[in-house]
Amino acid sequence: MNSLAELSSNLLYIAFFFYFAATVFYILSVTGRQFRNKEGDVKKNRWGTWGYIATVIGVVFAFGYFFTRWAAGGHPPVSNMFEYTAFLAICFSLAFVVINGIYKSNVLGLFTIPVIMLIIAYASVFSTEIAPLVPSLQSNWLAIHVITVALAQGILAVSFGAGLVYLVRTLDLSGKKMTKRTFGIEFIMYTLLTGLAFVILTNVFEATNYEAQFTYVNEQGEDAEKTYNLPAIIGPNEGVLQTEDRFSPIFYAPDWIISEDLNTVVWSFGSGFLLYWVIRLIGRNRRIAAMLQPLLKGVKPQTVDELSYRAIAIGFPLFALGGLAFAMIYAQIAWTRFWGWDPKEVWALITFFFYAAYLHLRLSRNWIGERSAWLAVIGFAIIMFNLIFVNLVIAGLHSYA
Amino acid sequence: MPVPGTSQDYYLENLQFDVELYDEDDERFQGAMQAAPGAEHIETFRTHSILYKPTDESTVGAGRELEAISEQDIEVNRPLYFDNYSVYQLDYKLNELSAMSFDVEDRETGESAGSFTVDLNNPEDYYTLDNGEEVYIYDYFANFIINDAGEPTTENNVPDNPAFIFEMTNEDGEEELTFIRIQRNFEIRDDEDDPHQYAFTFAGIDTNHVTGLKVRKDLTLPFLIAGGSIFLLGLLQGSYWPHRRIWLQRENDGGILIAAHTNKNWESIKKEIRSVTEQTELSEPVDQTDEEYEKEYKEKDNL
Repeated sequence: MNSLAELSSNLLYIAFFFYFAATVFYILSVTGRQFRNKEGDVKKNRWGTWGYIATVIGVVFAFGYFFTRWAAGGHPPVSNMFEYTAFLAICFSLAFVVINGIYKSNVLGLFTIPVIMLIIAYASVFSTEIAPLVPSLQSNWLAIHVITVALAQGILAVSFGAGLVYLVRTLDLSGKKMTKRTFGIEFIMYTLLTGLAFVILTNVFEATNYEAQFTYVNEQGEDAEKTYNLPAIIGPNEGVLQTEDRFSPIFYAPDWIISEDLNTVVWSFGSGFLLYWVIRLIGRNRRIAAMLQPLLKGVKPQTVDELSYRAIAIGFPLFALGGLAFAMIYAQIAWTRFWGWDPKEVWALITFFFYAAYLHLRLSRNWIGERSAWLAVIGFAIIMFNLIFVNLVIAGLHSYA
Repeated sequence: MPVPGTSQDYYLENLQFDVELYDEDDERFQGAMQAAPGAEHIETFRTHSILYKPTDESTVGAGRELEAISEQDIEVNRPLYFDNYSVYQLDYKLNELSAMSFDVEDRETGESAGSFTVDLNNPEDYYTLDNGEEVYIYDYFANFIINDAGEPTTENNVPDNPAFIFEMTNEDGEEELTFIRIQRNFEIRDDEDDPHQYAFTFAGIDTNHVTGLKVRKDLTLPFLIAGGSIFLLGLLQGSYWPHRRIWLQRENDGGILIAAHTNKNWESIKKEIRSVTEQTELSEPVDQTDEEYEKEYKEKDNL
């Protein structure tokens, strides 16, 4: 690795640190005391401003990472899972900085910056090496198409943050009984914790160099080997553990399942579940959203609702431009056709239609407030699904690992 | 060769095909290359081509006079454009079979009857041997398979697994058929114990690099671009030019009424009115929906 590439990854670490600092500041700003001055006006503490400043510095360092990596590799660093996912998080933070510069909501920072950190941490699970570009990616349209899409998705992600704030602020979470709404909001919390669990697990076991070798029988009925980087709960088909002192599997997967991936999924959902209940027990069995709700009293629901909508109003045209228009021009040049029903193309179209439906429902059917907030959350779920599931599980032209 | 789909209005010649790999010592990519040892990192592949157009005088058919129009490298992401057509570099195959040679022996005399070479992409009907005899290609399968009906046929015209049935007439005037494919050679005999006069043996192969180009003509693209542009412009206009009205009315008693309406971005018009009225004697209009909301939530908080 040359020195520029090293500098680049250090800059990303520094940016991550500043996002962390921003999270701490935003927590302080929301939980901290609010003073009333002599006239009786509510005087807010200054931590929110510090959080915002830390985020801005983080964004600056993150772009430092982006451009030094571009210089080191000689091509725009948006060509594989690590690079794109990290850049999406950077665009998310940039969009937050711009939009929060207008609306100034500390609570929004509290909800978005941790998600941004989570996405960066998720990106680092993939190979961070600078890889040479395959022929079809060697085009200026790569930068134009991908950067526009990432910006658009980053802005749309802000609408998710605002939608989540709206929901936690306004939903009635006091009842003991589970309703569709309380289930929905707790499911979002659980999903975020599962992401956190996955990131922590993979990083911890990677740091300790955990490896367990298995011999197993693969789907063609042949003997093969595979390596687990997490303790195997679910072993491969007829797997035999080869490494000593390693956890022996409890179940064995059939041959048509990629067992180490299933194992990781089980680990993530399991520890997410554990994490969720630990937090709930600490909070005396209140729902997580209900624990957060008192912090959000100062938030005016209409403002976050409009913020969420405004983010989509900016993100949607940009997504149509980058994810469809530029994408089609690029596909026409590189893949000879502007549209080929590649899984990623299909999901970009679904994303486009979803947000188009959001705007139509909001502007002509008056779906504002709660309905609109749920849609903003689902839209972000579609984007993340398109990023993670479509790239990793469905084989297509966009599967650049 | 004539460019398919252009009704022989254009011809394209492949002068050379190159594949370039990334330098294994490239400092930038050391990490990624060491992570996948032995993997090929293809930088690019290109076809150096010349585009021809028949001169006006020549008529359709063989032996037309061609005029070179342009010489260009066709590369991934750099198609060749001409007259609404685009030629794309799609893929390639190195060392594809291109020709096969055969020796023929006359069993009566024990001497060689000669040899011949078949161009697999463009086989001729007859080949004349040194002794003056002719070999007729009775059937040629470029990519030999036996289909579901149990008949020999070809999967496509790519010579991946070529097979031939040759026909020769022996001195008795009988037609002899011989089936040959890679590592298979048998004479189709009427009588098992009566070998053919002419015996075929496989002598050698020739390979070349094959480039995969794709020709496209799409006249709908301008309409698509126009439609997409209109959509995006309309979207921008619809999103960013909100409909807004602000009314000011002087009342008889000297008071001023201020009211506003917008079809979207309600909060921002409120913000603007606030900034307009802040330094004046006008008081900011009250948003009654806000009041309702506050009331509702006060009640909830008290519960």
